[in-house]
Amino acid sequence: MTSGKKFVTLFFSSLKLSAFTFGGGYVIIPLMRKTFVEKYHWLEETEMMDLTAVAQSAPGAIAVNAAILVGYRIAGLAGALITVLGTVLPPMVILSIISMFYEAFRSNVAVSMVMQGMAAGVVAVIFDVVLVMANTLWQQHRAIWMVLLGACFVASMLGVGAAPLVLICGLIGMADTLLPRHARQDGRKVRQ
Amino acid sequence: MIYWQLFLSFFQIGLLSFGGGYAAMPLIRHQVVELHPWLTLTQFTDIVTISQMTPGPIAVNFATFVGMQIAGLPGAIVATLGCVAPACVIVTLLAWLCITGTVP
Repeated sequence: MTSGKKFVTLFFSSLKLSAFTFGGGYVIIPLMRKTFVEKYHWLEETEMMDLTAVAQSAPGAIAVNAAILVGYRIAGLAGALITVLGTVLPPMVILSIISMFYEAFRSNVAVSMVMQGMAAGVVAVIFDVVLVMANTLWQQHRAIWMVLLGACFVASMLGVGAAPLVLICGLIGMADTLLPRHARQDGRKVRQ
Repeated sequence: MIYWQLFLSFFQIGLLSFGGGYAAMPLIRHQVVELHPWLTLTQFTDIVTISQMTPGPIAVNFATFVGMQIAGLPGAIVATLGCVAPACVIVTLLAWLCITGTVP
């Protein structure tokens, strides 16, 4: 495949993946694997697994991170720019359109009721995610994480911003890793 | 300047949201509802709801919506750029390190 054609394929593949993937980063990665590993053979299976691990641990949206990694691996810096563009364009277009009609629709009584009903469903879904995540933490049998969780919850209720909380927790996690006393055997492997 | 504020707010969201969309939501709320008067809490809830039904990362969805509401299409572009800029720098650096094999 010529490099020009490769860029075009890369762009439209990420555009298609982004436009038709509902449910966020964890859903898009298996689909990316299907496209770039199975269909085009541009990546090895193990490479895709490594990229997934990096995409999940770096800050930012998982889908965007994975797109950068895949693009860079396949076609360098230009490839990364092309896949990011392809990934970001569909949600931008859709939300721009929604934004333009938002005011008009929101004042409609029926739409308002529908939105409230759907919000209830979404809150339930998010609560379920919170429970699953808290349970993952609980499974590690480390009192420090549960104390941290409780402390952050209280701090957040009292109005402390999310950014300082995340930073402080990150520093505590880093200190915990660097401290020599409990070596790596205690439960860290539970983290997926 | 409004464009710079939008860029900076979403840059912070992109930089500090570890762990995907759900982790980004409190950061987004802090930036666009509490720190800046860009969205009401009802609008915030609406966009969270709409984001569950539309494709794309929630941070990008918010960046586009808030940008459009505050400063039109240029605002949407600037906010989205801010939101993906940290990842572009950090992840490209990681990709480069991983692929050149300097770090395992």
